[in-house]
Amino acid sequence: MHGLPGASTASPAIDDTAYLAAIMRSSADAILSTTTDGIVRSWNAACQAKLGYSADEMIGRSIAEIIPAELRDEALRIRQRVARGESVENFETVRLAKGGRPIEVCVTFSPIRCDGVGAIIGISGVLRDVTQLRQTERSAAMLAAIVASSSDGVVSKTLDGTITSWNKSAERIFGFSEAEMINRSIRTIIPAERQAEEDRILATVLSGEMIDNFETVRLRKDGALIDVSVTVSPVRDSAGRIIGASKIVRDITDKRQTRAQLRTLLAEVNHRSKNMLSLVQAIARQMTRHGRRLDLDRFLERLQAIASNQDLLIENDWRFIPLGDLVRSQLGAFRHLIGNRIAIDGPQIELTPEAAQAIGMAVHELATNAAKYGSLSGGDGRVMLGWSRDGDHFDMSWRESGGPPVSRPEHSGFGGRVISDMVRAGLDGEVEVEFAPSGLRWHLRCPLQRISRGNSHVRR
Amino acid sequence: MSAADKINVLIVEDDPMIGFDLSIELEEAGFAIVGVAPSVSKALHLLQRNRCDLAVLDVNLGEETSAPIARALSAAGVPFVAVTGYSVDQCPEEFATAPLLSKPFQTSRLVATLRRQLPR
Repeated sequence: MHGLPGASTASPAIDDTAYLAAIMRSSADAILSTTTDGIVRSWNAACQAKLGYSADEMIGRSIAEIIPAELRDEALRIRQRVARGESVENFETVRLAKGGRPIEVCVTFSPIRCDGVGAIIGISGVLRDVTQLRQTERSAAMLAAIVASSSDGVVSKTLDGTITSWNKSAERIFGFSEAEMINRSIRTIIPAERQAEEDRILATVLSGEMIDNFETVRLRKDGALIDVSVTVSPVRDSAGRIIGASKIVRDITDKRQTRAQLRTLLAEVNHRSKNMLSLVQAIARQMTRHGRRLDLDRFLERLQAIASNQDLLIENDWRFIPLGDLVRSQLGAFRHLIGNRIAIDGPQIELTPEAAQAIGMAVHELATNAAKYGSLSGGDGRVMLGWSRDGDHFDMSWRESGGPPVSRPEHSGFGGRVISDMVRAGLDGEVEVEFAPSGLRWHLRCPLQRISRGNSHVRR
Repeated sequence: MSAADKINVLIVEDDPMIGFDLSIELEEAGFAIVGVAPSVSKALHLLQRNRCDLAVLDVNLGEETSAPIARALSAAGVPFVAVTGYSVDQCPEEFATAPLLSKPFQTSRLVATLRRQLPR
């Protein structure tokens, strides 16, 4: 070694040394040297800038000061290799700045020989801080991982529509692999009649605008069309120039189907609500025949009876109403009498909504009549309500006993027509109404198939 | 007008009470009721066995629509009126040329519409 950095003499050799020392001082890379034992011999300004320690603080001290404890063995091995004459280039490791803050560095270690050729008298280290570079790489890797694992298809393309990236979900949605699509045109997945859309998308992207959730149809590799929602954004380079577009594609087949189902459902609601109004109209009309005044209380009771059917229907997904439930619901006002004065017996039968309406109205009328004039009007009378299956036929009967003596009414009112004519016509059945002195008897016999859909709906 | 001169109307309606009400109303208006059919099979059965001059069809019959009945009536040259809770565009194409009454409707409108279908 000749002289100290900055020493000024006239000889050319000393000039060279000063020149080298100046380079070292002004280098943006941190340059330091140690003995083969790891004692710091030189420490340039960039070392101080990056690691925080000044040359005064470090020269003469062990380099181990800036090596994390767990990396000291690794550092020792490198020092031994360099001391034997090896160079270690671009070794990535961690060093500690003053205060203990770890920084990621890339170091090149070289042996220092006496007069450039002789015995190894020290080790030089040139350090670059790569913390920021590595962080950038890590965030890029993180973003790449997010794109790769996204459930949406994520695709990028150049301004002429050439695909530059194609993630796993894009593979799943379109059936084309990444290898098949890179460098191909995005128009591959656009149906012929929608090619103009791509012109519009590219024009929008070029103007710097994004396209948000554009719902359209795209083509799969197998030729099938799929409903998708597409979001396209311009991609800019660091100078702000638009160089391409990113495209996020979501498969909305399910959403479309849900919407179609909703439309069907709304049509059904429209139909059912208007039908219900027709039913209300029919009841009002039949209650006011021959100029009779509308008995509002009775009218509202009947509407309530129909409304309670609706609840049962909803409980069974609008498919059927169990007969036992229907009967108990229609006898709701006499709940406390069921099991003592009112006996109910019959197999469980799943009625169609229409049959449930007819039978429900009949039971409602029979019960109301019994409470007013029949066996439920006093304290002792009884009702037996039973039903059975007989091959392809269904039988149901209502028998009152123990009430006041019964006689045929002078004319048949609404209730009378419901339990006979309406049930007979609506269920293709035979109805007998007998005004026996001991109590009213009502019997319905109709094809089982008129009240229940298929035998699978009938079980005991 | 004797019973033989009366116009025979088939009613297709799956709601028992509405069907019952319609049959009474139309009888009162002077029509003879062929029957109230709640299903396609029952309606076709009635059509085969009875003379039928006119029909009132509820479009939606629960599990099915009355489109097959509309086709049979058109083939036989029997005019019909559709009644429905659906809006016009929800009806099957078989009803495209038939007069359509939206439920609920007044009997007088149904009777007038039915009479207009008859040959003069």
